[in-house]
Amino acid sequence: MNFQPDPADQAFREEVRAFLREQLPVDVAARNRRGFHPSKEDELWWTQLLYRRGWSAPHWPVEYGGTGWSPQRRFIFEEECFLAGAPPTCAAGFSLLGPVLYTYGSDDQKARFLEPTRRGEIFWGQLFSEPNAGSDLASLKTTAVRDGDHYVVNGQKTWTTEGHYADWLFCLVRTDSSSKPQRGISFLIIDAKSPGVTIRPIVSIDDAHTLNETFLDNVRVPVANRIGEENAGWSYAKLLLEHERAFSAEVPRNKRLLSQLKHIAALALDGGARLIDDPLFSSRIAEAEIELRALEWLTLRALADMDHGADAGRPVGSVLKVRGSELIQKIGALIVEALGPYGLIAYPELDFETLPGPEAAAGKTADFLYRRAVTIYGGSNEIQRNIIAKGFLGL
Amino acid sequence: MDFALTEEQSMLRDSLRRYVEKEYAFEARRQLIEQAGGFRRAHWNAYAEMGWLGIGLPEASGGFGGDLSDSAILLEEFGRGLVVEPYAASHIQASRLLLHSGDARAAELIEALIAGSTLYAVAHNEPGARGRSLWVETRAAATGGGSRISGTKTQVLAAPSADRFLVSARSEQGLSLFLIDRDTPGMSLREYRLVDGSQAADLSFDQLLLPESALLGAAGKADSAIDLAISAATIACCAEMVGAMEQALWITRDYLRTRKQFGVAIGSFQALQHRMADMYIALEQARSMLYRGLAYAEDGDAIRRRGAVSASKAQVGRSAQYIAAQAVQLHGGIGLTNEYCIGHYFKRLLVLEAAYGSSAYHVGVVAQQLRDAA
Repeated sequence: MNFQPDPADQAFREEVRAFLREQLPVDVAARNRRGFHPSKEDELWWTQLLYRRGWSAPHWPVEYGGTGWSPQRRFIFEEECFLAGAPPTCAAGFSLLGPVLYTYGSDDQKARFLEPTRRGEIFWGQLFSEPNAGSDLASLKTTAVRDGDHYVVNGQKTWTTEGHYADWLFCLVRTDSSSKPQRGISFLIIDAKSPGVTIRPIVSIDDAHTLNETFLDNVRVPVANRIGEENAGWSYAKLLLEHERAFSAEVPRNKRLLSQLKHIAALALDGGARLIDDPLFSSRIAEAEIELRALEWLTLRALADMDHGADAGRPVGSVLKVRGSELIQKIGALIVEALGPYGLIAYPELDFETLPGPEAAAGKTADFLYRRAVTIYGGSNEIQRNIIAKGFLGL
Repeated sequence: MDFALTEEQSMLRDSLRRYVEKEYAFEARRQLIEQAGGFRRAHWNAYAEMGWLGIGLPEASGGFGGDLSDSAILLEEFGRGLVVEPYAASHIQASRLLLHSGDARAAELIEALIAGSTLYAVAHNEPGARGRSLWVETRAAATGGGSRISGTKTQVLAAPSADRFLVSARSEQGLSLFLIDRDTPGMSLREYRLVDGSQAADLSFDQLLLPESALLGAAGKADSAIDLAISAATIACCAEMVGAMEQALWITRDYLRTRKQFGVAIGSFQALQHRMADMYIALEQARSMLYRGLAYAEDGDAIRRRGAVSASKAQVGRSAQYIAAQAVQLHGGIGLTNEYCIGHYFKRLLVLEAAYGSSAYHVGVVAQQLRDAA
């Protein structure tokens, strides 16, 4: 046992900070910290900039352009970028598709897609969920029927995050409906410009458009765009849901939210005194801070396990997902409460300065509203509890 | 960082587990509490023989080196097996008081502690303290060479069995520590048992005259030793709680797999499965905060150390309250009987949650620190 951080990691953190100070424009950082959804331009521009430094896909294997960093360093990198207000990179491409592609893709597929993704030239959209296949994803009904060297795909997908940004899509389709639901699923990549692909906005409760529904109407997809074996797509999708599980607590996001909460509570007046000086309110912030520390150290333990290749069999990903997502919502609710009347104004993304309230108010409630999603997506928290109870506790 | 046990630590854990499983089996433990008053000197001597009183103490004083994380391994096993002898107080806290006292006799006194020949009880806690580490109303007044002390100490663990007391008292110069032998005339003990079966006493001093030699370290300079000792003991207490709550969780899991109602094992019900999942999450949070606490427990920066120790005790305490309550709940009626083990975990965790300040107190410390920083 050794609970002290590695001094070399601290030096690495300084290196990342210096890079961010030099490269990240102040206005981009401010926009990302505010809480509105990032733009495609920001995401791709930032990916291209990271690519030039060799840092756009840190967690990929070195042979595919990864950095070879330890899990701890990847976490430091992610945390510093996020806290500095750097735009995200395309999560669907880097965290979901990438690992499936370099693990199961053909040489030709790897050559076509990995490098352009890393360069920030392709934006990916994920097509898994359907209107009637959410937690029970394996019941999905979108079909792909062979027609010569093509599949003809028909169906409806939903919750396509940033689908309107996507150049390419990856999709779970049913290629065999005669066997067990999990057995007849294949994994296809689809050009978003193909005839028959229609992507429509879903406006979420934050009044914003980041989610979409995707209709696939006789879309012809070359068989060469299937990843891996036919009918084996379920196991590939499971792998990618397990990937990066040590990162699933979103510690950086929780840290940013907590520091915003403290900032707002120090500005807000409550009967003539600072809200943060109210013992009751500050105790509630303290409780969130303590939970954040626990989450951070849970993550450090998971990273160390990854680094040592040790897997104690603990359901780390589920634990982190449940507590991390709950904490995002808890801190978000405290921020809205701390804002008082300004927590209830529907600030638009542009020209919010003309409305009443402190500069810090804009975007906060919108973000709080959108983050109702975090306990639902990626396997709802109820599904995660099933995994802990059945898979680990043996109930 | 490395969270895995070394080979040596694994061996230590295994031998502790074997010992505790044998010596604190349900019936043996019941007898220890009912017949031996919750403390067996033979146990303490056995700890000494096995080297467990030298863990985490400097080699220069006859210890075996290592640090508090080694002691945490022991305390987790003690927690798992519901050991009632107060290792956190009579070993961790007492040894740190001696170690940081600056007294010329410290090495020699620690040697006797490691050998088990002196059993210490720490008489620091007072009724008004409720977790405040430096709350002392007991007075010390200098009288030509010696001191006279007056006041009351409460819940002094192991007091009925101790050879010597480490007593804190306040004078015009500040906080001082005194070493008082148990047979010192004029000191009165009111002995009692806590709900978890451990033994304790309130101590009262009324103008008790102490010789100059009773003073440990410099007069009025004990603040830092007391604070450091409490930090270490608080984290030790966290380790004990993590062990106890982990065991309570697995006992409950086993019960859910065997208890049948409506024709099926009750563990097949999703309402109970999700409760168990939440208990497991609470346990993982507690263990993470134990490790974080160990990283900061002996930090030289007092504010940082206190903040981290409070954050750990708050989380571990909250997790313990949740797990203990749900463990009883999921057992149903049997959870209320003294003949079954789970209620004893509930009682032990109740006592440990309050020791060195409740979770509510420690949340307050973190809140005060964030108000100060804002």
